[in-house]
Amino acid sequence: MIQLRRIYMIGWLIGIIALTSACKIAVGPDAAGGGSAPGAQRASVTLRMIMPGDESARMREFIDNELNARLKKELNIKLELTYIPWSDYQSKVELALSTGENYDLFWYGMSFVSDYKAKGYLRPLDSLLQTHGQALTANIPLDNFKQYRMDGRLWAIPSQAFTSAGKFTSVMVRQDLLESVGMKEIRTIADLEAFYLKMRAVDPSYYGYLETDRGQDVLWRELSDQPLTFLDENQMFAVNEETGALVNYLESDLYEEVARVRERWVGIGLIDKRLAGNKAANIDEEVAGKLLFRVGAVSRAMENLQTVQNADPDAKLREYYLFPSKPKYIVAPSNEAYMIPANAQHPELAMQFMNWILQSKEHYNFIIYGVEGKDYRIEDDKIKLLTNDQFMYEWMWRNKNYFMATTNVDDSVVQDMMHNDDNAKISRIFGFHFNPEPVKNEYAKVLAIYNEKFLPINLGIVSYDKEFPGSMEALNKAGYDKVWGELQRQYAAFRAAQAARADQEALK
Amino acid sequence: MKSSIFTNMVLALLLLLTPIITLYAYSNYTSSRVLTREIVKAKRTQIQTFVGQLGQMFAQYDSYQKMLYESTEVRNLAYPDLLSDDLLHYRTLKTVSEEINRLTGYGRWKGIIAVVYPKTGMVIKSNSSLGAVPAALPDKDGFWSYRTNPKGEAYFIETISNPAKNDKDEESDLTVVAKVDEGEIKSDLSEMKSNGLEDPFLYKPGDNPIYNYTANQALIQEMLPELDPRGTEGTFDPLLIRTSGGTYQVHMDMVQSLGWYLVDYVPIDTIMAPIKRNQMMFYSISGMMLFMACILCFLLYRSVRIPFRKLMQGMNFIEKGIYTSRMKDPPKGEFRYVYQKFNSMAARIEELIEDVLKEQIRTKEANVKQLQSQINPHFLYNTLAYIKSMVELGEKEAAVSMTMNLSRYYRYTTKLSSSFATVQEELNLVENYLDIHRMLTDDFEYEIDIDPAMLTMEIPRLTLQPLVENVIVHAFRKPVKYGTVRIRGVLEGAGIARLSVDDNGAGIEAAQLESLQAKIRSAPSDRIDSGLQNVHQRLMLLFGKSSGLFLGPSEWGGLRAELIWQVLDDEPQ
Repeated sequence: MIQLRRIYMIGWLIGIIALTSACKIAVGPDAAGGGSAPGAQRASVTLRMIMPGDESARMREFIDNELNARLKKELNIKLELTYIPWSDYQSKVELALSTGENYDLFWYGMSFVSDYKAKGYLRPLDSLLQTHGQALTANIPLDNFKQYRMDGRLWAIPSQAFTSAGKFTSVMVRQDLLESVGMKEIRTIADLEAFYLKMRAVDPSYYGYLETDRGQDVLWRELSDQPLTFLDENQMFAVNEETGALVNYLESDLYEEVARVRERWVGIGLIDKRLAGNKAANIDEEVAGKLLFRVGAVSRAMENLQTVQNADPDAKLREYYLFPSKPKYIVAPSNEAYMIPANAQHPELAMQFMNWILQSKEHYNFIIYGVEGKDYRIEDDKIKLLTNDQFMYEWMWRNKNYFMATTNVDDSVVQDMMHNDDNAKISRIFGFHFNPEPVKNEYAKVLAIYNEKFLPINLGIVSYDKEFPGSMEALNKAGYDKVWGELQRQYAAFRAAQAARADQEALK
Repeated sequence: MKSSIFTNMVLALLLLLTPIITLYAYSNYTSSRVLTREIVKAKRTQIQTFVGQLGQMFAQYDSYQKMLYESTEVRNLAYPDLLSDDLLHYRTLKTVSEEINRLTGYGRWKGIIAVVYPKTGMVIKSNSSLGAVPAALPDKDGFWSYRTNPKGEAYFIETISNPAKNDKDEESDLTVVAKVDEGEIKSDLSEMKSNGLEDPFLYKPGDNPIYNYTANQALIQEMLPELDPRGTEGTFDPLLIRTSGGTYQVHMDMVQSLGWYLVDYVPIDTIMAPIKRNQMMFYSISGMMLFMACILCFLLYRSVRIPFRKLMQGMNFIEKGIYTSRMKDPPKGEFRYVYQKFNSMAARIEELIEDVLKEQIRTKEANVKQLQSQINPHFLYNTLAYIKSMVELGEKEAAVSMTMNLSRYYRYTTKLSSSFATVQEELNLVENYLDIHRMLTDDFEYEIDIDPAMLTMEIPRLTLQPLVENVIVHAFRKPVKYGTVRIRGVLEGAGIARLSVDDNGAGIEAAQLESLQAKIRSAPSDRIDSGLQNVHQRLMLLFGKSSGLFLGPSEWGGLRAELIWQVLDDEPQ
């Protein structure tokens, strides 16, 4: 019996093997493999964060080893960065937010915060900041948080906390060339013109001025006796910091004066009308080391130095304000915003991570410059970079309390930056956002007309006298009054609310 | 024995295995072929897709270039006199600049588009880096050509000029340039690599290949001499190239707009791995099946074929009459049972055959005894003397009667045809016998009282007569009184028939009776001493152990001899 049973069993075995192997062959090789075993349980929590640009090789290695080793020890998190190239950044970030992918933290510019908040992508941060953000509140001025406070709640962390007053109202100059023609500094419009003419006499290949579509407020510091600040990027309206009144800039005498200066500059060739409109050619000049000056941005002398030095190793840059004794105004203390998505799995860890960055100078240098001795060295209180690879972007977290200049930047430039805000005031329009929704049709038309008719006047390539009346008429036809009216209404409401809040605080 | 069960089963196994293995082999062959074809096809499709992508990129820049070439604004900028007004110049320049930026700003490719005005020295371009547009443009217009700048950076460039430029010395009014840096192609190749290609590179005979960033350049260099796409006329079958590092299947396809070939190679071992695995599996499973089949045959042989053959031998012995043959060493399983049954069957046959033989011997012995007693001279002398006296006395009747009785008696006892007789026939014989003796001596009488149902029953011939003879010879030898013989036949309920012979003679003592009884029972197998013994043995052989001859005292004072037998069921009552 046993033997017979054995025979049956062997028979079955043959059958089963034949069947299964036949099936396997029929299914093909794809059926095999697959099914990777789930990894062993990690003790630490993974924090997923979006970063713009491309990840450098050293950054990847740094995160995998040194950074995550520390973060695991100190916060018990594992940082996982998803880099999205700059060109796709906006669309991909919005896609990730709208589809609710579970990222815990991401960066973007100031102007996106109110939009994302309105769409419900963001998580309010007040309580998180209070519980986990001591280092953030200690190192970022309280005012900086105000710009991301909407409906009484905080929606983003203004990660950069540095000097920012008078941004885009300074002029960045090739200091080495300035000195080469016997000048020391720029204080007036006449200085600029003199610099150009002297340089031109030495070498006609040098080119004067870059941002023809910007920088009118650089001139205001000299041309206006009232301190004015632009209200909008399009340079149509301004506010008088002294009185708090709105200014219809285009119809003011100041605009005419600015236009005449620009006309003069075109006349002497400081603005090359043949290049006007050819943006890439403009940048070419700077990259080629042929640009004498352009609009500054507080830290541009530091940020652009490497580019210029590639073309001319002896190049030096410095930023100047015309009439430096006049006060500067802070419109936006920080353009950088770190936000926590509504769908974040670990919002408290995201806050702890941000807090960790600003917890000490050592943390700050570690995440921005890497490992001391390996990626950078400190020489005379400056950072000597030992690698060209980017770590955490310095500009994202630049902080006045921890900032250290790199060795290639001149001390004077650093001093300028550090003391930029010394006589600064908070702008009247700080926290004001114009909502064009009620007049959006008129606003679109006004913008189109402005770009077509007023940009050439701004540039100085057409005569103010000849072109302005017709242009202004066209603008009015497009509904300029309505936009101006709506702007005044919203601004009045903003000021009233501000006054009420001030009264309340006074009462307390 | 040609088609024994064993051979049949082995045949069945072969018949079963052959189609399975054949089908299996066929399926394996088919799947391997399909797999190979699909893998090659998939690779081809992949290459074609990527070639299409590359081609599309260049085609896109082609079309951008044409658009700009045909644009009025672009042309007007070539003639400063047309745009004497600063505002018009500014607007035209701005439009063209924005247009160029728009064209290159979309899509994922980072080529460069530029319009160069050689006469005014103006360049409008989409990329602001310094070397974006080479200082020296190609000598004449043309589609994509591969060039290298003084710094050693390579790029593809195509130009179209107005008026058309056909010679180095000619100076056009404007030239629209489209340029794709080698770096762009390299990162594209790297992306292809990460998207499934093995190690793609671009190749054109006569030029250095363009590798992806992580290419195995040494290996590719080794392959290059074998790569000659010329003469293939558009059909790019995969090539097999042997290098020091192994054999590779090389796929290539031409990017039409460039005239370069996108090449990718796959180590043949990798591509064929699933097929190899399949075949290995096929061989091992086939081998295993055959091996299993052999084991099955062997087991069948051992546990069916051998016991069966032994059984056949046993049967042969029985057939030949060797009834003592028995199966030894019974195997396990069902055959053990068959062996046991065979053995008990053989034993039973042997037993039965012995019984029949013995009975035949007994019958013959009975006849012989009977004949011996019949030709007893005294008996014959007495009867013949009786007949003579009766004839002399003129007792004709008595003489005739005696003669008749004698003649019936002898006819019956000498008849040897059958060994069985009915009770009636036996009784007739006994009557003849008793009548003869009564006529001779006239000193006894007899009574017969038989259940009529018994008359037709068959019993062995000459079983009753010895009992009666015993009475005449022994009980009435010394007649003290008038003797009586009573013959009675009774059927009992349990199918037991009793036929008794009683006499009123002197009888015998109990001890003697017992020894007589024992003598009858313990009959030796081959020799029969007395008639009574013979009767007992025959009854017992025929009707079973409970049947036989039983002696006991009679109620009339003499001896009772009783035949008892079990009435067989099939016998008619």
